[in-house]
Amino acid sequence: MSHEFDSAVAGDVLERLEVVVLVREPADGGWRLASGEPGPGWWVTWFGSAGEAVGRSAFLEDFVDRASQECWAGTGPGTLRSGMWEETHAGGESRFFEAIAGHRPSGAGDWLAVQAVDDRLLREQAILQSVHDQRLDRRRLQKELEKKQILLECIMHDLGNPLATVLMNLQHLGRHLGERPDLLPAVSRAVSQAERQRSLIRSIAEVFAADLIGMPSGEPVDLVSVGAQTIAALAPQAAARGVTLCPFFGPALPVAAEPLHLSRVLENLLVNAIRHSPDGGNVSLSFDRQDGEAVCRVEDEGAGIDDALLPRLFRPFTQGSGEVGQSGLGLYFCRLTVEQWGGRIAARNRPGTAGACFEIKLPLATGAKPTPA
Amino acid sequence: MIKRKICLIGAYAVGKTSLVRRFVSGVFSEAYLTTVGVKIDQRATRLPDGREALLMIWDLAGRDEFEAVRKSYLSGASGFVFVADGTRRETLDAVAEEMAEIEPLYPGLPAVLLINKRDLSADWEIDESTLSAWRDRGLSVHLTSARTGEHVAEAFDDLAARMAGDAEKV
Repeated sequence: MSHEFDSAVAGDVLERLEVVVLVREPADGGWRLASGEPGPGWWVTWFGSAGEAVGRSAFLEDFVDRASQECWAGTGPGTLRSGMWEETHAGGESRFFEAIAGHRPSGAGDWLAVQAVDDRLLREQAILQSVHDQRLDRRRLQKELEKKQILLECIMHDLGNPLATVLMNLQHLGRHLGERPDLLPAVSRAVSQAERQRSLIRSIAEVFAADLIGMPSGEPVDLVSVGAQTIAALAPQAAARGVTLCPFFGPALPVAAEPLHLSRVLENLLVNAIRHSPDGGNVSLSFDRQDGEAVCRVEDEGAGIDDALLPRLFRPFTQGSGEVGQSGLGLYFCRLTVEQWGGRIAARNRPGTAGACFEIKLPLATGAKPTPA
Repeated sequence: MIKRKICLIGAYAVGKTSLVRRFVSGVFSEAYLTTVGVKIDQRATRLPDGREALLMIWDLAGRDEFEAVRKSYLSGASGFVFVADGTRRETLDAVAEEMAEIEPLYPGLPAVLLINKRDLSADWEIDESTLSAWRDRGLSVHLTSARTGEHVAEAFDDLAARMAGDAEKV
């Protein structure tokens, strides 16, 4: 009674797991179903019977007659998994299966378990599909970026180089206009417009470049050090306009960024602030650490930002009323670049005082040691 | 009818399953569904000497996915179809790595190299000099398109003929 009960439970478990077990004894060498023929419906549909299965399935035939030879001979592993395979029956329907070969020691025979594994396959397929799709998407993106890089180089080369020649010749003309001083204003205007065009090409190239930056690589960059180098380089420009630069450095702020582009972002913000500052005004550059982010602020004492302009300040080709001649791409470049590094950029008017405040926030680099305040 | 086992080997998404479907069923689907495990298809083909052969075509998952059991799958193969994606140069590097591992185990076994997705000529990344280097290694190289069917049957037939010749030598 107990043996019958055990067999019934075992049979239930195998049925629920969709497993059939074939056994063969050394004496006759033929396979038979451990649970007795005919076996569950799916087994009959896809494999027929224990006697037919190996001949009906090319995979099972290969697994039993070839791959499992060492297992059967007792010279290999005691059990061997086949891995999953797809089996299609005569009606055209497919299911996925896995086989396990087992050898009982001391010549006690062999067993072969065959299990339907559609659920497991679908789970694994979903994971692999996702991984493959991501890799393919990443590669497609990389290829797109390479195409843009070529376009960028065309812009720089095909537009920039002839312009450099034009500028050089105009400057040459300007220096040798002794006999025609009346033409000097015209040459100056041409030089000015050519320089403006060169600046525009540079801005457009920067926007393209921001799109090409991708994820930063290598060591984290110290935002404060880059800020210090950038503000030092701008000191003569600020002095020429009667503006004082006021840096407030603090502890290092390592961020995942690309140093040259980070410097260009800070330079754009500082040059912007200098341009909008009154004679004798101050431009401050300060750093902070807030909630796992590095914060950098550039503040000026100018007229501030028009409320109407604030919502579209970081869009391309946005210009303030006094900015004729600017490309309107500088702040757009800043936004693209900072966002590509997972950061944010914002602008506001300073409360209770004149001037604007630009603020960028970048995630602190992973693994960066917290610096004591 | 003689029966021959052929294994398709190549990186993910190079078009192995699509090539088999094109060769066996004459159909193509744009959707990419990654292969897990093994699927065996078969197609009869006539060899140059007039004999008929049944090709048992083993479509194997990309390399990463079947490393643990790959040796047992390859065992008993009469020929290999290495597949690369002509729009992804690195998949040819993957073939080189696969061949370096497989050749010592099955020296001299007939093989063909299929550079697939020939229809995507605008994105093609493999130049003729690269292919010449592969041909110089004695490998038969076919530029195929599972989408259009270009050179697909010829590639499999070529391998079948090489396998037949190989069997006669034995």
